[in-house]
Amino acid sequence: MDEEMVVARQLTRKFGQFTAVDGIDFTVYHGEIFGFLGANGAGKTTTIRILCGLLRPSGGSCMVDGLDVGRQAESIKRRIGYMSQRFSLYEDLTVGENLEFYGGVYGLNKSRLAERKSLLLTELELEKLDSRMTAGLPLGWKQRLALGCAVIHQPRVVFLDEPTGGVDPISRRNFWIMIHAMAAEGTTVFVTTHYMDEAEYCDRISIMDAGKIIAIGSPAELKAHYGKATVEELFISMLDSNQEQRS
Amino acid sequence: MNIIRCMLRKEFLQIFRDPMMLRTMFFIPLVQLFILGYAITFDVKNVPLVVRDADNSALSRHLLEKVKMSGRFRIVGFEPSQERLKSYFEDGRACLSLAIPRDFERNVTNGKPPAMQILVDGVDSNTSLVALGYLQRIIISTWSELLPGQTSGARVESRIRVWFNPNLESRYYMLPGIMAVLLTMTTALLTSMGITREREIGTLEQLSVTPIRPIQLMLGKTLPFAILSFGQLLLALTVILFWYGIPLEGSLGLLLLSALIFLFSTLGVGLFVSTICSTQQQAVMVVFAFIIFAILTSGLFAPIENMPPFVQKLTYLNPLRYFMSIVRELFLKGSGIEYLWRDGLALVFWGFSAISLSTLRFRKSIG
Amino acid sequence: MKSRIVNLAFKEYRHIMRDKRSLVIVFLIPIAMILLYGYAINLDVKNIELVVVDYDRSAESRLLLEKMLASGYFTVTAYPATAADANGLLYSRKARGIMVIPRDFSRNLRSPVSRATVQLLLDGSNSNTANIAAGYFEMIVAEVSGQIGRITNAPGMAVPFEVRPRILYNPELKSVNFIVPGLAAVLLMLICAVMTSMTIAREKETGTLEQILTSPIKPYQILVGKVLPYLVIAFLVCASIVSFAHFWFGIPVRGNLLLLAVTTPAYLFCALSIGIAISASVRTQQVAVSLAMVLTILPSVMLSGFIFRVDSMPRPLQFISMILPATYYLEIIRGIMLKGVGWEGVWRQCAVLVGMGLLVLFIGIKKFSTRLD
Repeated sequence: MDEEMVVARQLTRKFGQFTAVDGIDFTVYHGEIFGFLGANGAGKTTTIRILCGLLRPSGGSCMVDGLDVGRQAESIKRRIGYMSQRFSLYEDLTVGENLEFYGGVYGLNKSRLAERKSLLLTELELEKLDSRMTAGLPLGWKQRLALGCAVIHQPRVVFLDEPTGGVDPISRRNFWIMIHAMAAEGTTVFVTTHYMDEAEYCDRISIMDAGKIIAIGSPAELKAHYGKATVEELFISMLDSNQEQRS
Repeated sequence: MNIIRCMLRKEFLQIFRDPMMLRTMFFIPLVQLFILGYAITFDVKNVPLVVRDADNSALSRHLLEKVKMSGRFRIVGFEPSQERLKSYFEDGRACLSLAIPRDFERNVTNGKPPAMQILVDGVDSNTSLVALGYLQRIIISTWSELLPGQTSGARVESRIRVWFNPNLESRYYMLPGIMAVLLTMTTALLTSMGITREREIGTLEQLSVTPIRPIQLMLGKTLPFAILSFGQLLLALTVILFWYGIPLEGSLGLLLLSALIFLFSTLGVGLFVSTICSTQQQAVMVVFAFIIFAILTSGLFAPIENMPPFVQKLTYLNPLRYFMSIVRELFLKGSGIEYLWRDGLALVFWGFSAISLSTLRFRKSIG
Repeated sequence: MKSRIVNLAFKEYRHIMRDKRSLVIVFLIPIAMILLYGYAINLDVKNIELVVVDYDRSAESRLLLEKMLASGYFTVTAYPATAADANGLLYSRKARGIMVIPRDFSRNLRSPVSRATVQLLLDGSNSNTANIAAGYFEMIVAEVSGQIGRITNAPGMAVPFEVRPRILYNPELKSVNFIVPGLAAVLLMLICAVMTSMTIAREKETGTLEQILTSPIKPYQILVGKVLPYLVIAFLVCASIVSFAHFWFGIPVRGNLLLLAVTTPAYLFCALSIGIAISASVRTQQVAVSLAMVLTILPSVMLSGFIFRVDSMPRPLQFISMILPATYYLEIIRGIMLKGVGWEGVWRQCAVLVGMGLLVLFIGIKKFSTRLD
């Protein structure tokens, strides 16, 4: 299906004089894994925060799952999942308790919660860790737990802000396998990342620099178009030329 | 409703897993109550006194004996030199000095009034006055019993009776007040820190993305502390009533009810502070500032009537002032609701405004 | 080695400076508190509200009343007709005492026995003011005794001796002179102990402490570097408190300010060490603060002699008072400001403070090192 899950039209966000997001346009389709790339300070996190209803746009519009982010932010929150850079877990709760908590917050009833929890523990390979305290877990496992908390309510769209920061390559790869599985089941995944090799796994990507989107399309298309072998080369050259253009 | 229960469960899990938290809420206030109950006394006794007895007669020794027996003074030394008396004051060895002149006994038996000099360390003005009064009374009474002949003539005697605290026990007055203060401190501090902590860690942001409504979040974070504080209150009451044996003249029900209303205000303050601070360190300082203001203007240490009019007006802004007066009235005078309703109403109003204001700000700061 | 400490100190300094809100509070609170304290805590007892029930209404009773009013300690707010009327006023807090002059007051004075009584019924809920009020009352009555004689033509009792009390250091008995310097002790303890207790705990919570520890810096250097900026700030706060106390409230500074400037750091050092020791022993800021409050502020306010007399407390509490830094600093600051003492009066306290500080710091460093390895 080509249902439009996330749509941004001329989306703008200013902080005083500084324009963090400068009239960007993009569309994310159902079941896609959309990679939102950009250098540090390009405006990625600000964009995600707008999409999640954490910030209001200064201009333009933005729709998530058919709802207007500016006016229907509260309703959107039921339908989306969010995983922040910091993982935002309660260190003094166990793995199971974290899942139960977020499940409860999303309004899952007892039986559904139990179902989802055991399912997620299996899918995320955290089965033995139900009663382990989150504080002592290695980063790779915390990452999976955070993902679990973000999708416990089976949202249609999931926003992941640099979910693999600081995690070892094997854990990263396993993580992406899980993301692919989610997408295959119909969840739309909007992910920002620094790792260009991960960008290769996405269905479509966009590159953001200084508040604007300078490229958007599938990795294959873009690589062909600009004659680059990897997304990494693509990324670097696009940013370089954009810098030149701006100065 | 379900969401709130969910939040409560998480909060309680976190609280009970933190050993220090429980100790802070229950054990430590308890210890304070025990210690403070004995420390807080405006009673004056054991006052260090230095004596210069230039006469050293039977009469002067008798007088000094009486002073010692009164239990109010502790003679720390006999200093022959007038100049060196001062040094006792300078390094704090004595608070009062009594100088008995050389011809004391002779003058007295001849009917000539001898001049005794008393030096008082005025730094602690309060105690000084009281101590001075005691010393003077001891001298007068020694006098009248020694030489009854000299005390003929018209005399007016004063007879003083004290109501509401017949033994003038400072404790009856201070402990209920301290209980109120402890309540204020723990609720405001822990609530504000609890929320600010989630902001610092990042889980507050995570929660903002969920469908949880601000009011649910607020309730989730304040109810646990409200419940625990109430527990703390009951514990403190038990200590006051049964350990110290301070009688509660008034209605227990009224006390608990007003405590409940009071909790609204302190939780509201904690909540409000959490909306204006981004780090726990700031939250602590701001709450401290509030607590100090609240304690000072509550009438705990010094009566509100003593304060200049401008400060008295300020005290109306302090919820602790109302609660303090209700608590004291209930304990000491057993006042009924006819006397308390005004303070009670003020408390309700305060609590309501605090919570509403905080909710508004809270909503803004999240979404 | 030295430069590492300075480096750390600068970093800590920048942290503090950037947290503008905290900084403002750190300076503003002491000033605000002094203002409040100075005005609010007025332990001076005057204008005690009495109501008078005068059943006698004679020349003698009027003389007595005149004297009461003239003393300035009492004000009379009402003259109820009977004692029963007056009782309600005591309950409703409209009066703090009821003075009852019995019907046969003047008659008894003129009789051969010539002894009469006057009754005072006091609201004892504030035992302190009640105590003092009772004292004033007795004093005034005793004075009147001497003068009654002149009116009744009976030999009045002259006060049989002269007691000349002289009040040192604070002749006007202003409680503000007593309270405000003590406030400096409490506030400084607050800043030093509470603030430093949080700073290390915070680095533990955020994980930056680990970061620093991986560098060749030694633990004690970290601690000292952290402590230095707070030392400076606390000193400035102390200076502002003293200036404010002097220029606004007119509290005298009879002693040598330089001496104060030299002895204060001993106290600050002690307080800071306590903060450090607490910080090294806990994991979260919440706990650090609670512990700091309990161990430092509360005892300092209650048991150091700040408001309540230590001599009047039971023995065990007097012992606690002896190990509180605030107790010693109170003696120093009150001694220097109000009594004008010199080095002889404060060196002992100074030595104790430095000694305590070193001991606690040592404990803190030990805890710090073991906790992280």
